[in-house]
Amino acid sequence: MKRILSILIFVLMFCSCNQVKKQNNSADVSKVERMQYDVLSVFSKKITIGDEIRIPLDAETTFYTETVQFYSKKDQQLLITMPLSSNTINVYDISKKNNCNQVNKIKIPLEGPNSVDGEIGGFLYHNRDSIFVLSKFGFKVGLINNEGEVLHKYQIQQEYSPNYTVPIVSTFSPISFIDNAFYFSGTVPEKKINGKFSGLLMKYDIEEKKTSYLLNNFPDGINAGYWERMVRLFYDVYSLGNNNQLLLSYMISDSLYLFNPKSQQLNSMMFKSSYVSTGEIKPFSKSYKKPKDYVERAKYTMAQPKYLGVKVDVLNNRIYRFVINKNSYANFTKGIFPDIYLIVSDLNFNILAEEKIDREKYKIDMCFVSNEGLYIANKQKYDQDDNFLVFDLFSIE
Amino acid sequence: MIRILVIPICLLFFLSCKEKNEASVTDVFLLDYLENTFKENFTAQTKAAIIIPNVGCSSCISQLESYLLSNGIFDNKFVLFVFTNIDDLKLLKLRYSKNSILQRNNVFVDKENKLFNKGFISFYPEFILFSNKKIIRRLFVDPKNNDVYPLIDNL
Repeated sequence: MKRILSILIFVLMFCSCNQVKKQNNSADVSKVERMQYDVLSVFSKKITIGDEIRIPLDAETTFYTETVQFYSKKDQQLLITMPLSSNTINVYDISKKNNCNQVNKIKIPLEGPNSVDGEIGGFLYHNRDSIFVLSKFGFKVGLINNEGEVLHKYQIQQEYSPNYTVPIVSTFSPISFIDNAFYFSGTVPEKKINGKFSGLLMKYDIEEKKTSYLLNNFPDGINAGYWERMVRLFYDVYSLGNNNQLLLSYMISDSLYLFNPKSQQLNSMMFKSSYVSTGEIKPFSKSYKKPKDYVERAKYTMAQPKYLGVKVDVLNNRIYRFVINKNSYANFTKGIFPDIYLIVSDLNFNILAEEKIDREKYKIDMCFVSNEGLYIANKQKYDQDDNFLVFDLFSIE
Repeated sequence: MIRILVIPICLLFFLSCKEKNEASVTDVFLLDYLENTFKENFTAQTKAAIIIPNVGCSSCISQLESYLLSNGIFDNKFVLFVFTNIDDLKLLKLRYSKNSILQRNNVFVDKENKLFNKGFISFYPEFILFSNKKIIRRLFVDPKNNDVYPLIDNL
């Protein structure tokens, strides 16, 4: 009896819950796991940071905007933003880099005849009097003029369904309007249909008043297992002459895909990072098991290297793609964040350069392509003076 | 003999299992931080503190902020508030521009993110309950934790 009790006490002492010792006083850099990869190729070019654009912000306008759009017509160069949760579209003239000014501020009401179902989730500045705005929960697109008057509303989805993507508009997943149809990418559907995700590219034809979901098989392997948000699709419009295509970038894929909406033809091109080993990307589960909470979801997502958005620069013969390295939760708790790289190629997908972006300084999801090239928002300059939103030009030597 | 052994066995069960508090600072550090930050405004009568990261689970944070604003919790001088991990100070000031909330004695804006840099790395706001300047409970304000809002209501 005594022997049994002794064993029991022994076992209890070792099996009892452990107190989590978290004395995170400061990051011990020497013990941090560093992800090292061999550089697989020698690039012929280097990325340099040059001119800046300084946009004056009024007292109500803050830094972060989920959508940044450059618009150019004749001599006019405009930058359009929509600060987070503001329901306001700001239009700035950036023709003179050192003397930018705000030319319009369109406040969209949450209610009333000029509202578009409450909060706005994104916009497309088609021209001065044709601005498309997407309602936040993705069911309507409103067409407004420069006075903020609603001219028309399009019902692109009737209601939320777990089987289909819900459009999300951002700098890396803009609204596109091609041949009388809107294109969006959006959320990863909660459920599969017959074992497959519905297409992550949503199309709404304004003449037929019809919604369809395209590309439910790409990239390879996404229908096996549960990937959480890792199968997110980013894209940009790739227009050469009258040929309007979409250049697709999936988080988990080394390839870029050129999609022709008219012919439905799809071509893939390898566009792989030399610094980030994306072959390690795994699904959250091989079955359809989902993360139990926000923290588990975040831990999984941060542990995956992933490709982010893509930007097409036809004028300067460039394609830009961002990629972010993986991180561990342990590093995250020490305030250590993974590296972000910018890959630059020509329009024939020949990679010219890949370099690390200073993530303390630059907010890569606030970027745009203008006549000069790729501009990225400089958060550090805003922290120094929050009366200005500053973008720096990234170009190839 | 058996009775003598039962008590330590039970103690082993209950004392060894504590609420895990991943990625956050210790009680000792937190008390010290709040003392140094709030000074005479942190007293034996202080009932709670709420630490709100600016960046994290955005729905959790905005839900809590809306709740605190609409229920006047910031008016309760026995509750302390710390805003940390601040990404955009201008936005924070705009959000709390009414009623000078950020200028109150029971509210501290950790502009230099010292609390965050010292280890308070959390996706969620944290609620801390005091009794006579001792921490009696700490809870994350996350979607699965139904205990927090009733505790805030009872302050």
